[in-house]
Amino acid sequence: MKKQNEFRRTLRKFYRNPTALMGIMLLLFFVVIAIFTPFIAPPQDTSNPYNMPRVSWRPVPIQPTADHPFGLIDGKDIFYGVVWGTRTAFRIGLIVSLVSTLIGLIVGSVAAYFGGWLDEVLMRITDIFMSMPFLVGAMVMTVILGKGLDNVMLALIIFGWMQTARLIRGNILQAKEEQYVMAAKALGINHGYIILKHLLPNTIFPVIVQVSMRMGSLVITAAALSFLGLGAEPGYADWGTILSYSRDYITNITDTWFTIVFPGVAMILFVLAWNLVGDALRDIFDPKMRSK
Amino acid sequence: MENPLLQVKDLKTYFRTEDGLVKAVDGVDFEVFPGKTLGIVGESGCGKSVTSLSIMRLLDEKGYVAGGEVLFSGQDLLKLSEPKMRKIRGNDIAMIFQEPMTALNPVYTVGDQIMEAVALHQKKSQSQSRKVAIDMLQKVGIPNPEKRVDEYPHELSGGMRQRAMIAMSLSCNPKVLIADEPTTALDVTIQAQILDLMRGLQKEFGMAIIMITHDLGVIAETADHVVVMYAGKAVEYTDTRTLFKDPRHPYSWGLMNALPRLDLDQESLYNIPGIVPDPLSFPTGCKFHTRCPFLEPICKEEEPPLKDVGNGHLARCFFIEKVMEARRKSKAGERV
Repeated sequence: MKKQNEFRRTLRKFYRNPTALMGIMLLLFFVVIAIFTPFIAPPQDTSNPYNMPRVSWRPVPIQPTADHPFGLIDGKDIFYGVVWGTRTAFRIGLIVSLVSTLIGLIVGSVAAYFGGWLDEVLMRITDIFMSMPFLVGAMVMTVILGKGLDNVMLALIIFGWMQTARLIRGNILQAKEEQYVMAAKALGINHGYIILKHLLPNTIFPVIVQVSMRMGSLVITAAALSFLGLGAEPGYADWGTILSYSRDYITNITDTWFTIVFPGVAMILFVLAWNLVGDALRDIFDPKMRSK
Repeated sequence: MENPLLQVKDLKTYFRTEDGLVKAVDGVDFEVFPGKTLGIVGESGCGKSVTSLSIMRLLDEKGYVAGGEVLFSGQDLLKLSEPKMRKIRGNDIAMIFQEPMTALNPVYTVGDQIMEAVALHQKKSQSQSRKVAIDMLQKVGIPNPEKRVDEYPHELSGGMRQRAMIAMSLSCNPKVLIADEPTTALDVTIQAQILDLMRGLQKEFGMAIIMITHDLGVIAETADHVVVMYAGKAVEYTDTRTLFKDPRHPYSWGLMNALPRLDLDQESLYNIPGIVPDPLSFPTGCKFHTRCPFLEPICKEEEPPLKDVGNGHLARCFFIEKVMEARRKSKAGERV
């Protein structure tokens, strides 16, 4: 009962915050698009819907028409790509941020809780990964692993868990000195249970905020890789891939604006939605602002 | 006399630090009997808490037990495997802590935390554990336990939290309860209530209590036997009455002498001269010689053994006659 009250209080606070509300609305908008994708843009080839179908044999950009509201590029419908790209964006954001956060949580909490040489080894490995520039590291990984969205996600996971590990390690280092941890040990509770039930619930909030913030920026990073030709296969419904087509027409912006604007705006709004939600979460979890 | 429940024999606990080896506990002996209370008294840093953590095997990675035995119902706790030790913690030997403010996890209700231990050790279902939790809260004198069981620690006062903490540690009916300064963080009226409560629960449950404190008042009120610790060593071990009436170690004598006396008109209280020695470089010989008013040359060279001075009263001093003489004088109201 009490827990529900707390939950309702949090929700209420969320609704009262106008920017948070905007973030949630935007996010819901994208979720709705992602759910109803097949109805908004029916695929021609249902076995491979993420492949943007060819609707014209003219490779040059074609201005938006009633049939193709976002225009065509390389004979492909941009509207179709942007709509199906929403699903891709969610897939990249959710899978990469959740898996890398999970890795970070495990590494960071184990290092902090057990301390000693284990901490030393795990954190030095973390340092090694951190010392490589993120984008360069991800590029090298995709070159090694080969093209394709799955490989991009794998590369982003491999170079994306370190901040979480450091963040949770710092928090647990502090929390593990609390007497309730000693009290739990004195009750005969085992280590895994102490980490999961006593330490993480007290330390995970900054990580949740971090995850929601990263959800958006990961999509940009994936798009950057696609733009550089290291991401998804050409023709794959992915915002970055559509953008990469416009690379050839970059000097002639007035005739090809639609190839940049539509996927670009989708990306900006997507990132904005996650950032607003993350910001609102930060406000809600901040103990200094709790009493308000 | 009954067999002791818990026996600590020549316990030694050292800490490796960057500045060198710290001998936090260096030779402590005592026995705990069922239904009785053993007091451990000494000033900050004398190794009281480390002794209790060594018994529970909850030292941090820098600390280790360098020698001695902790016998609990015939088995040496120091030699048990970690999973077996975990079964003993909370179930057979439980602990309560100094800071009731931080000893409860802020994100769970009081009930959840009590139920956790019950469910773990007694393999009870959720609803049964809940019943135990409410029952225990009732026993420790928390009013309206059906409602309080669902409250978070921040909704309780300090005294209530300490009661909840006691309920949590007694929920599995342990044979030994280690109380590490349970009343230090509470104000005096609440202190008295908590001590009363512990005495009452001891009668009801029959558990032995190890009461760790620096407060001689708490010792006088609760303990049956007392270990006086100084610089990691037990310097005196006797029953409480004897310690207050007839201390044999100069340190215990100093402590007793420092208590205010209602029968005398005192301008100032006695204090033991000097400060506690640095644990990194304890003095040679008797650890107390730097502050002892009865110092003789031999004290600087040789460590006195813990010897029986009659009826199981142990003291670690070469010159107990001097202490007895001083005690006679100070009793008569003379300055020493």
